[in-house]
Amino acid sequence: MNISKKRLPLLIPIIILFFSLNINSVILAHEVLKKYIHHNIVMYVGRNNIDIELSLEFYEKNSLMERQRMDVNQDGKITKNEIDKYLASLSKQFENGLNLTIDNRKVELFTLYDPKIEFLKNNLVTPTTHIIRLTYFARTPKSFAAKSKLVLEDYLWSSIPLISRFNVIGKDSIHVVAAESDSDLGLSSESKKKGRLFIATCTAFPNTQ
Amino acid sequence: MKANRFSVLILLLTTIVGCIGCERGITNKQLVPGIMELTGTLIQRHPYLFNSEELSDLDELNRQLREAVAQGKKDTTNSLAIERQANIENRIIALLEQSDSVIRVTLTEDEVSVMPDSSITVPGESGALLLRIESKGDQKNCITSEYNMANGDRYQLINVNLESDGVTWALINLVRIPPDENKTILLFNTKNGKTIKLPFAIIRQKLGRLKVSILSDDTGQPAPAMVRLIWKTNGQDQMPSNAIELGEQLEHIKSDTTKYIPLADNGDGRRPAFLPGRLLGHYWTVPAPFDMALSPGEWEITIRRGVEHIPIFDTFTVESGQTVEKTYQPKRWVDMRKYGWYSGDTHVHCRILSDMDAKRLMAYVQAEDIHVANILMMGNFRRTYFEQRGFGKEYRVIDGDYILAPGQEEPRTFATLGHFIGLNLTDFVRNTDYYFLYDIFADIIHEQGGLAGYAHANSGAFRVARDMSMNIPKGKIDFLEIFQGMYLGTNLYFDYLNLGFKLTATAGSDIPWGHTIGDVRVYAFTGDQPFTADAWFEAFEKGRTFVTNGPMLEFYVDDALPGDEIELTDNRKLHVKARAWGSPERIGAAPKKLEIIRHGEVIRSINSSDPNQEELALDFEIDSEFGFWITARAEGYEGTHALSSPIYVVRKGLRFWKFDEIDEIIDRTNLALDQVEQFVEETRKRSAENKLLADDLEYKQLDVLSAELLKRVDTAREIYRKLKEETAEKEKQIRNQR
Repeated sequence: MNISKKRLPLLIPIIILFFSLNINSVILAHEVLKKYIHHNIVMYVGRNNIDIELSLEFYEKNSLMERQRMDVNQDGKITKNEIDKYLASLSKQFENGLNLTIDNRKVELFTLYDPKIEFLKNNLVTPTTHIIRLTYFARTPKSFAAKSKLVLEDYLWSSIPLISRFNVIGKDSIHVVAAESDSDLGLSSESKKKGRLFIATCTAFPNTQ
Repeated sequence: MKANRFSVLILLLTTIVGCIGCERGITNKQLVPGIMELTGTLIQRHPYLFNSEELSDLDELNRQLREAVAQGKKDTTNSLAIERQANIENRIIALLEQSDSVIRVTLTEDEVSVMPDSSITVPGESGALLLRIESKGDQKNCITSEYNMANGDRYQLINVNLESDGVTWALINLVRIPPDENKTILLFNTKNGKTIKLPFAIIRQKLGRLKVSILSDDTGQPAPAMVRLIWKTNGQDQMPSNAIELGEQLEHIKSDTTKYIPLADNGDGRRPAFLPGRLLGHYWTVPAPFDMALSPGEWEITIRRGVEHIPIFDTFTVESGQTVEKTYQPKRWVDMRKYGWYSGDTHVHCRILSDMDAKRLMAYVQAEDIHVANILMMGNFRRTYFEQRGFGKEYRVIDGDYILAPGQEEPRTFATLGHFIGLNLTDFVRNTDYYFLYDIFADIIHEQGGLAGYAHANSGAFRVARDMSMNIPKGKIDFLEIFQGMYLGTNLYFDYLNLGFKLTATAGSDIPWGHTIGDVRVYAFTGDQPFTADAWFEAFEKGRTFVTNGPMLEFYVDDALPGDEIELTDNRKLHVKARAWGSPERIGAAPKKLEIIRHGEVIRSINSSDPNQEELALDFEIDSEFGFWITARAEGYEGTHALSSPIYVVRKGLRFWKFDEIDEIIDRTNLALDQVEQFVEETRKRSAENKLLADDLEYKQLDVLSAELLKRVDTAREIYRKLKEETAEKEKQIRNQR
């Protein structure tokens, strides 16, 4: 079979994908969880601002698929330029990726710092791990008080099952506690294709006077 | 007072320049390229370049800019939004202009001049050059780049690529800066292809010194602890000087072979701790007091000693050339040993081949305050991992009331039957000839006086439910690992309890894939007898356990403890007492909810809406009826959990099962047996068609064992059939009579 030189670059990712999916499972440790994306959320609640740090950790096939999207020239390596383009192409998804309501009222979220990708020393198009780090902020509403309920909906990569961790940290003497967080890790791990909920409650909001 | 006046002056100046910028913004709507990345990097990585007021202003301006950009995106015709954006950008630049940290460079045709000096002092191993580069032209631009000083050889050449004429703000992140003076050359590469060189010295400040002692709350003597040390200047953590490096013993397991670990790079001594609230982060094991040189600046230290201690958070300033001495003593909020409960972790992987290996691991275990750490040698069909010197009592490592006890996670299959654990062994059990027949492993483990159970039963990972369906009904299994990472998973556990099989609940961290030893832990009740490994395993075997990563649990039915059986001939009232408690000072320990669960259903619960409430209790009577299993579950604030092993209430002649639901549950277990048959058939078929590849060693062996495996499926089906058709029918009559 002759494969023209033109077609060869197109086949490389397919070949990589083929081999990655056929790696003998026994040699991989704990591979079953590779289908999940890990959503790690830390929310800082202050008097003026609510800051959210979200890291999305992609494993194996999910990482490979995203890396393939990044590798525009299909040379198997991801450059800074390609990362910038990839992040730019996702900017809308990032902007609309989270919804925050406080006491049932929507609070507008903005990007706090530019999104970042960490490749963990491997910028090749391989089935490994990478992390996308996103930061957001909202202005703390004037009505915010003790017992206020914060509900964060996460729509990022919502068609892929997630495992999650939700930490909430109070600032300026405000006390907040995490109440609930969604996770698909269980016996039925069907993806939900909807926003995943993370809930926190303010337990103390000291008066400034 | 002087400082205040100065601040007011700066603010005034910033506002005036901002207003001027506003005017310019109307006419020149072109935004300054790169300004958001530069501003964000300054705030995140180099806050030291600004005083606190400047930093606060910069932070606020960054937020305003982001808001304005978002507004502008929504409505591109909104001239007010664009004006606002330009105004904010100009205010950011005005703020930078005022900063003392700026290095001002002027480029002419072939010459370069620099103000205030051609040298800069950086605070430590990392820092930055914030350059204002002016050349002919009226454009504004911002660039951000990074230079690793460890990469340069004799000549440290730092490239600054200018993309436009006019004023360029260049932020160069410097990492791994060597001590003392570093003679570098800044190379300004202009738009028209010229390179202008500027010799520039980067001087690292003289270090300060930190001496830290961490004392035990029990003895007042220095004790191992988990420590996180963060340099506030760049937000990065620093390894304490005597921190234990475990990379070799943890076989350098890295993120590329770990698929679900949220904090990457977990195969070394810097342990990722996925703990609630401010406790989240990486920690090192510090075995004893330490004394080290540190970059000057503000530092934050966090000290943990497991879930029974209140963590310490402290900040201090290290001055150049000065010594800071600190002594900390994390206080206990509870001492579970006094109640007869000793903590354990039944899933730790770590090599122990020498006294030094044992000493390092023991320090880690003591720092996390785990009394019985089960160190599991591990295998798969092809090889083993985390080798041990030996098994049995003589190979236990004991230091006071801390014990390392060898065990195994073996066999481990991934796509077929799951992972199997043996505890308290006298020898490692491994034979690839019968690798898929887990019951044989269980029998040998029991012959050794050990305990057999399943890993990852919380998530059902690696198809563990299939082997469970064969071996739990045959009475081969003692325990299930139902708590790991942050997941307390009870679906499989409750199914088998509901079928009337006794199983002990346990928790295991699974390091190095997991986070840190004891992040979830199992407590076993040894009572009044002296604490020994044997006493702990005896209690564990009896099912006298609860698992937790926060709240503590106490649970009785009459005088029975978890794991106990109450035998009754008639229906009578039973006294249920449960208590969950925890200190709000230990994040995640205070209970939010306490529930009593019978046959998997909540029959009584109590909630707290006050995170400062330390205790929840339930005390009530129930009828014994036809018998049941019953347990207590607590939920803490910050997503923590605890669950007790059950107490079994058994009426004479009846199982303690969930009689009304056995058909459904047996359907589920039969489904798991179907899956075993399916993969056995598939393997046989592939083998018959010569489709097994040369390296499909496991599947070739599976093919060899296929008949044996199918026999086991049949045996299990027969047990379930008898339960359903004979035992249940017999019980139906008894239940109807009563």
